[in-house]
Amino acid sequence: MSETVDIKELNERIQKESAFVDLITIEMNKVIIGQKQLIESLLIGLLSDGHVLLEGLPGLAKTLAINTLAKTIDAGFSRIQFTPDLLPADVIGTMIYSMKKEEFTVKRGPIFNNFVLADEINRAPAKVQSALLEAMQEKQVTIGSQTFKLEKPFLVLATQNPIEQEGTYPLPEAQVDRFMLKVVINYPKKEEEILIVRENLAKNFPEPNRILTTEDILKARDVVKDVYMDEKIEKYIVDIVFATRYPEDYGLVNLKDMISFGGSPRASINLSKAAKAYAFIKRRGYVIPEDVRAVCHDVLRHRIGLTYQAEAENITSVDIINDILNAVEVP
Amino acid sequence: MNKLFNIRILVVLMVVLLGFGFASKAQITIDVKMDTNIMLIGDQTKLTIESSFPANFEVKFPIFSDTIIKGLEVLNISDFDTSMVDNNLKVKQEYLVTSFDTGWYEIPMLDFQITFPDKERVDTVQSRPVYFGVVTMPLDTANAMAITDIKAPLDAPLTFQEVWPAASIALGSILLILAIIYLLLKLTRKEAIFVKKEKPKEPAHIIAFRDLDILKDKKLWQQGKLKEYYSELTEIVRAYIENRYAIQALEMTTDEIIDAFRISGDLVKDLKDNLFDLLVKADFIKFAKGSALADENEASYRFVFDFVTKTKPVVILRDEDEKHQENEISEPIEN
Repeated sequence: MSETVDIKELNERIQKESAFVDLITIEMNKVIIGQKQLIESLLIGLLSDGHVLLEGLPGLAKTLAINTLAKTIDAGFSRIQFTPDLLPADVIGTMIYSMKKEEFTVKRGPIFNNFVLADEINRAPAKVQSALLEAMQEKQVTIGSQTFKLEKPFLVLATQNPIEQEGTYPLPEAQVDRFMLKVVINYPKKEEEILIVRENLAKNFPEPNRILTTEDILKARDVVKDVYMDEKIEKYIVDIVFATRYPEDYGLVNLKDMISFGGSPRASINLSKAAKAYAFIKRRGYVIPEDVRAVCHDVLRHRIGLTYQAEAENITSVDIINDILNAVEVP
Repeated sequence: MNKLFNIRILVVLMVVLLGFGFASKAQITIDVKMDTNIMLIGDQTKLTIESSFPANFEVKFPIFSDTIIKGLEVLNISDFDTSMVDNNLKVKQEYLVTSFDTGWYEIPMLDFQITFPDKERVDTVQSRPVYFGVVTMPLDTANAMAITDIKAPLDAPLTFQEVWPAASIALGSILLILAIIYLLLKLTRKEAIFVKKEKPKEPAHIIAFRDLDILKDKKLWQQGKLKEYYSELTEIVRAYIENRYAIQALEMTTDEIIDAFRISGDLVKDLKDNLFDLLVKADFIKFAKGSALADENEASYRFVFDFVTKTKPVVILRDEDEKHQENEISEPIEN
């Protein structure tokens, strides 16, 4: 009985603590028209301490969305435009010799901020990508002999363009896996695009208000961690991830030849964290199967390796995830 | 006198030696012959080379590979055929030959090397030349100016060996065409290609009622196993929906099931709302350790029972004159 009371209390706490979600959404909606799913995904990344990779065609407000989110929070924000001639030192910083002091001093790079927008991450060479991804994983940076902890919250929001692959350095699977979510942005709806055109013609660009501090985010993250996840949901999550590895065990024999590798345990962890954050956004103190399914595509799409046969048959990881969701029994 | 005596001795020796030579050669015979003296161009005939000699002699036959003489081609060479006749060895070899040039041919004398029994003396015996002619088809000189058609091929009776490859291909093609027609018919009618005979499936409501009875007998919520109770209750209703409406409810979340009903329009609003309430309550109990009163548990059970009762297929009895009854699935009576 006491556990039931805890859930009720948690529900009430979440109702209270998650009020800012609506405020952020309102502020972002002032600037971003449509792209509801993008905003939700950014909030999931923000609340579950997971980095987000945005993929979409140019002009779909990827950078604007991240900029706007950063503006609603009183936190450090930097933007790094990734180019082929970028160096790791341009991202993490370097040691500079001071003639006056006759010693080397550390010049911190733009990564020393709460929110880092890595724009067009696949345009920089592998060494720069690894420098950034190492910082993402370890939440610390080493310059010379000194190691610096990155300030919390630390969130990397990277964008990449699915077309124009010439002159790009695609992220290896192991590095893409470090992004909690890979969000694919689609075109806005017709009515949304009409509004976008009107606002641009009128040069009416509203500025979002700063409504949150970093402390609020860290506090909200603690609440998200407390969101209750029943063992049935845990099993459901593990079943989904296992179905990406052994589809034949779930009656999906046809997928066996389409998948070269399935989701790692990191996929299960991130699916759980993202489902909790989604439940929080929906102002619920417990996770239901809807939450898992809502975040499943963003968490798994970059963690399923496709075979040549799948590519030849134009089968995408999203098709595979859909098949898996239709086959794994909901608790 | 002495000179005359010497000449006599020499003549006697020559006669003896010649006599000995003739005697030994007389035991060796060489025979080269053809089966015919005149052959048609392209026709085949046999050239036989035969020798008979005492068993303690050795006779070396001439060796031919692809031609005997220019224009006479060898098609096949037989093995040596050896037999013993009256202490004489008889060796025979046959060549199957042909020619594609008309004219007269001469197979010249062939050399056969003979080795005497002492293995020291060697002699050569030659065969007689063989003559033969190769001719073309005789012309009908009486009708030399008449234009005649090419002679038709000879009709030979068909054998099974000749017929079976074509027959099997024809039969296979017919079977393949029939199979394709069968598949196309099945696909256009959207029927299963291979129909597995299964025992008739129980109607969805029969399964649901039976499972509800089993659930009632388990008395789960009475034992405090509320989560198990609602898990099983919702599984029964989901399985019923899946079997009754072909909505994949077991693999769907609450929202998805209600959305599916909204799209299909199979349920009236009240039933849909109550189903949604039940599933949400069950989710709360299953995933949030929620609680429910005894009345609520019984009401949930009653709702599932009523839901199945109200939505089960209605049995319509046809006219008795038709001598048989058919079950037809009609729209739920609530509609």
